[in-house]
Amino acid sequence: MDCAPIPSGSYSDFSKRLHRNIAEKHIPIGGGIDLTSRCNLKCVHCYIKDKPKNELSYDEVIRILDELAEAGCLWLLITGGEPLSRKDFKDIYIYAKKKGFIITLFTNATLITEELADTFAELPPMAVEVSLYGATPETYEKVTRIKGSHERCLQGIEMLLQRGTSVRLKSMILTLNYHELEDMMKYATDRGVEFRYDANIHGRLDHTGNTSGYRLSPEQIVALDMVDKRRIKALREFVEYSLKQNMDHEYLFHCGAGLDSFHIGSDGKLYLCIMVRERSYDLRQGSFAAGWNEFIPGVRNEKADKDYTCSKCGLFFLCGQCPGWGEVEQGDRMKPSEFLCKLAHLRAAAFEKEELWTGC
Amino acid sequence: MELGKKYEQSGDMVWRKIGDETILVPVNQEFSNINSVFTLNETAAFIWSLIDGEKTLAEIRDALVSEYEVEPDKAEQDLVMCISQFEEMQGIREAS
Repeated sequence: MDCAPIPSGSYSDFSKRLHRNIAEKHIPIGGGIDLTSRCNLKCVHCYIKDKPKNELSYDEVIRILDELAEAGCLWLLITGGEPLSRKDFKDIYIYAKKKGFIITLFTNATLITEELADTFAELPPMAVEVSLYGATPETYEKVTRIKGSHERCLQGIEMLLQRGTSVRLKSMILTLNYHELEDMMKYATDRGVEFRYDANIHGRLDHTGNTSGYRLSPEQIVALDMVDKRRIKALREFVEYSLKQNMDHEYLFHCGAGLDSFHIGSDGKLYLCIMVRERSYDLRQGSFAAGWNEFIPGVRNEKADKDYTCSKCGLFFLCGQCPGWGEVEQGDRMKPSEFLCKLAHLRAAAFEKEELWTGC
Repeated sequence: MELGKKYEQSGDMVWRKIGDETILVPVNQEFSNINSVFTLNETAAFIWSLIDGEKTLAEIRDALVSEYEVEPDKAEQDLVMCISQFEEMQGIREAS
């Protein structure tokens, strides 16, 4: 017998060890929940449709959080919609913190108040990730379509930073704002805050509306890649990671979704991930444990059709293609997104030309 | 350390068991920024579960003796070390 509540290394070491230890145990170590599908902004590219009528009640959210903790969920992503648009957000957040979740919050920051910023200072999340849609009010509000939202976003960010809350900035780069990418990066750098961007916007998850008109072309995205050393490094790391995976192409899914992660919609539906929403388990009708143990493996273990083209593609390791994209863009999990396909081929050619594969 | 003392969990650390790992997650500190993540071995986790503001240290020691079939002196030694570390990380406080 030995008693040792011993400091066992850094957060990074701990995270790696825990993921390694639970790898074969089908424990839902990380997952996300849309607290709402409502939002105070009306972003042109948003993939969520406002469906306020089906929103989980406070009691339902609390019951689900209890079940997630019981099942072993440690890392919890709170997102939406705009989660802060729920009147009971603060109560839910405090409950989740006291339950021992390590929380990341996705928000547009426009609804941050002094009171809420104080709560985050007292009970800190691992990070508040704020979406920034432009460096100027004109551009930002062309995306959000709400006057005054840029100023409120910056005020929210400043309130968090003044209290030492861990903030990360990110942007969806669109035809409307890509000319301000550098300025957004500078804004983040000036504040000592991490910044990342994504240009791969996809349509609405429920297939209503088309946002692809705001999407940069694959050529524009590759041009952005090639002038950004950090971007190149991240892509190389993604390729190196993909190459190390023992991918069984008999199956459709190759990521961690459903193995150690999940997503829950604002109406209480449990999904394999944030994108794959055609099949769901209703947490209003059954427990999370039942959904995780009985429903999720069935979705996760779907086999790929023999003619699933991505299985045979030599660029699979570089491509962000996944069944979720197929479902959203083509209405078919096994049909690749043509946009991602073209992007992968252009990236491969650009990397080849610049000899950036060396060492991969 | 007086064995008549009672301790209670402070609420600043949340006990989580995930797979085979038992960890204490700080509520009022940002997790990834803290210097160390505290993981508990089986004995420490057992002791933690008995700290409820009601049981005395002597009772917890006796529970250890019974659970692990060790000598009372050895159980007491481990208990004292454990309590001291829990206090240091502000996970427990003396019950009033």
